[in-house]
Parts: sequence; structure tokens; C-alpha cells
Amino acid sequence: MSPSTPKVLILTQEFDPTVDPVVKSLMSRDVEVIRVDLSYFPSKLVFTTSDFDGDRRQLLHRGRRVDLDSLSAVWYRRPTAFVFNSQMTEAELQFARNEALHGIGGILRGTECLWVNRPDVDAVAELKPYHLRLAKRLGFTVPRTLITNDPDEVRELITTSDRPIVYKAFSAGVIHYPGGFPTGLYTTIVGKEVLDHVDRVRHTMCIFQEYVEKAYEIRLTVIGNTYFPVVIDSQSKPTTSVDWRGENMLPYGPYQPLPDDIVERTQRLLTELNVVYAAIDFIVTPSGEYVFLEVNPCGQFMWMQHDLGLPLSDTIADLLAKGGPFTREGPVTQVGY
Amino acid sequence: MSSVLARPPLRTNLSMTQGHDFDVPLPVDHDGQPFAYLFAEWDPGTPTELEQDVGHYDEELQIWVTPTGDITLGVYTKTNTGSGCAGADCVTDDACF
Repeated sequence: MSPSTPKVLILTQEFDPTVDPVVKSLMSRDVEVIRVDLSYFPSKLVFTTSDFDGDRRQLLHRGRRVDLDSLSAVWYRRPTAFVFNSQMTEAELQFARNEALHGIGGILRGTECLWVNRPDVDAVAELKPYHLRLAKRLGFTVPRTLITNDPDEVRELITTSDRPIVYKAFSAGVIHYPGGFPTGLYTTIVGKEVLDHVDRVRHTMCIFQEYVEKAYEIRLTVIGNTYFPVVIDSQSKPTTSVDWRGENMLPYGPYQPLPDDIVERTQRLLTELNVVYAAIDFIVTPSGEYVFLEVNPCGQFMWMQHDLGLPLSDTIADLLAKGGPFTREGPVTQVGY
Repeated sequence: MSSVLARPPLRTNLSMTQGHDFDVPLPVDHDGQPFAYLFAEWDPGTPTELEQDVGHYDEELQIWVTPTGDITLGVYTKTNTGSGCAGADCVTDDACF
């Protein structure tokens, strides 16, 4: 590898099938890939920054020393937690974890390269109450929304609403098991049958929205300034009609490019959220209106590459290899299938 | 805002392959549960799939390698990326937080 060879740092766990095709794509164009998981720290992963003898920021893994200032890009995917010495007490583990989060987070944050996406940016962008408000301010049509832990508010909404109401979770799902995934919770239409249990709303924050009639839905994947709008024919199956995540093999519809005004608003939204990558969900109503549902700044995408042949992994690889700085002011390219 | 919500600026995720316990029973329904649990289902997949040779991470290639070339390990999250497109990298992987 020459000094000018692009270097891409990928932070994720070892089993991440979304990352593997991107790694292959990067290597095919002679990009140096450094893929590590945070669980390697501290036993197999060393970070050092010092200005005692020159100014250096380095990562050391499997004998490879990587100059963090020479990175083209960092792809922050789904790294798992640090694994510390098993003899540590809980208090010691907590201290070690906090020190590592601060130290490594600070070293990585100091890199000037492109981030897809910075985790602190993701943490803000994924906040539904925030990005719904932002989307509404930018002119998107957004379902009317109630966010509360007040059972009386929910009781009033369900008993008086002129339209069906859905409940959804802010996070991906509920956790039934220690170490288990949040799962098993889809957007659900709720009616008067839940009133007997509505007091449970007081236990934590809940989000309710008006149910919007759909012609079809759009999963928009944004990679830099390249847009991949995919039509999901959610109304063709009962398992996908309310929440298309209810089906693994999705019914797709023919490609429909986004209207210019939706692209323009989406660019403004993503500029405000400061994300380079995002997955965004829209409903398209029978009258053709686009209704914004949410932004997922860390959403999966490889299922659409496999199902529809979209060049998503190559587009991510292009972005990472090119590096920063990224500007959202460039023209948008929409890619069909 | 970001400096408050993400302090420090790192996050970690659950493993897609480790730490899953299929034997613990579902929690008993009670009024102390969050509202969401009224609608929750739990179907983590077929544990027998775990007995297959699911492959390993190749440190040189920096990718996951399976005996067949297809990825089937993600039964937990419905990840099932197959080269033959018989099983896509399924959408419920969005749940991997």
C-alpha cells in the first residue's frame, strides 16, 4: 500500500453481513480496510495518542499500526461492548468502561476524516420526537402524534379520534431476555380494547400516531447524495399492511423516483441532522401525498441489494474511499431498479 | 444537544451471535409492565439452526466465511443473506441495538 492509498476504518462486530460486501468492494479497489470491533479492546486493540515525541494518533491491531490521521473515512456500524478483565468487580468494570468510552471516543472524534455516521450525530438524529418536529418544520406532512406517559391523554385520544390510532415504540422493540435483541414489537393499531390496560402508559414514554391510509410505502436509503427510493407494496399482504417489517420477503412495487420537492426537503432535513447516511420511511397516500414517518440513521440496507440488485455496497464503498469532507449541497442522484 | 445526549461519543450494540438465551420463559403479564408489552411477540427462530456449521470470522479477509458461502447465522435477527437471493438480509436486523 502506498502512502496515498485510501484507508477506511470500520467499527463493527465480526458477524455483520451488511459490512462484508462493502469490505470486498473496498478491497477490490485497493483501499486499505481496517475492520475492528470494540470488543477487541483492551486485549487485542490498542489506541495511543501522544505529542511527547511528535504528534501521533494510532490504533494497533494484529501487529498493524494505523495512523488515525491518515484515514479517509470511518464507518461506524455496530460494534459490541468492550471486554475487560473478568476479575474486575462491577465498580471496576464501570470505571474501566467509562474511561475507555471517554478516551477512545475522544481520540476517534479528533479525526478529521469522513464519518458515516458519527455515533453522537446518530444519537440525536434517531430521536423520533426531535426529527418528527424537524420534518414538520421543513414542510413535510407528518402524522399527528401524541407522545406521553399520561394515561388520561391516551384514553382521550383513543375514545375521541376520528381516525384509527397506532402505537409504536421509540426503540426497535421490547427485550424479553437478558442479552436478547429488542424485537417482536411492530406498529400496532390500537382501539378501545386497550383501555382496560391504558394505565400502563404511565410506566414509560409512549408514542401514538394517527393511522395514515396508504397506497404504498417508500424506504429511502440515502448514501451521501445518492438516493435509493424503494417502493414497498405494503398493502398487498396483511402481514405488511400496518408495518412492513412484519414480513421478511417484502412485496416490492415498481420504481418511483421521488418528486423534486421531497428530495429538496429531505436534503434540508439531513443537513440539519448532519448525517451522511440515513434510511427514511415514507407513506404515499392514495391521493399521492408523501407522509414522512421517520429517519433511521443506522438502518440496514443490504436486503434491498440482494432483492433488487441495487448497488448499495459499491455506493457506500465509493463514499468511504473518497473520504471527506462531505457536503450535501451537491446534486442528488436517484437510482432505480 | 449532541454533546449532552451522546456523552461520550461512542455507542455499542448487542452482538448478533452471542448472549441469546432461548430457555428463559416469557415474562408474566402484569400491570407493572410497559404498555408496549401488550403487543409484543417473541419468536427468535428455530434453535436447531444453531447446530449448523455457521462459519467464522476470517481475520485476514475481514469478512465472515461460511462453508456454503451463504450467511445463515442470523436466525436471531432474521439475517439470512444468501448468494442465491433465496433469503435476503432481512429487515428485522434494524432491531440490532
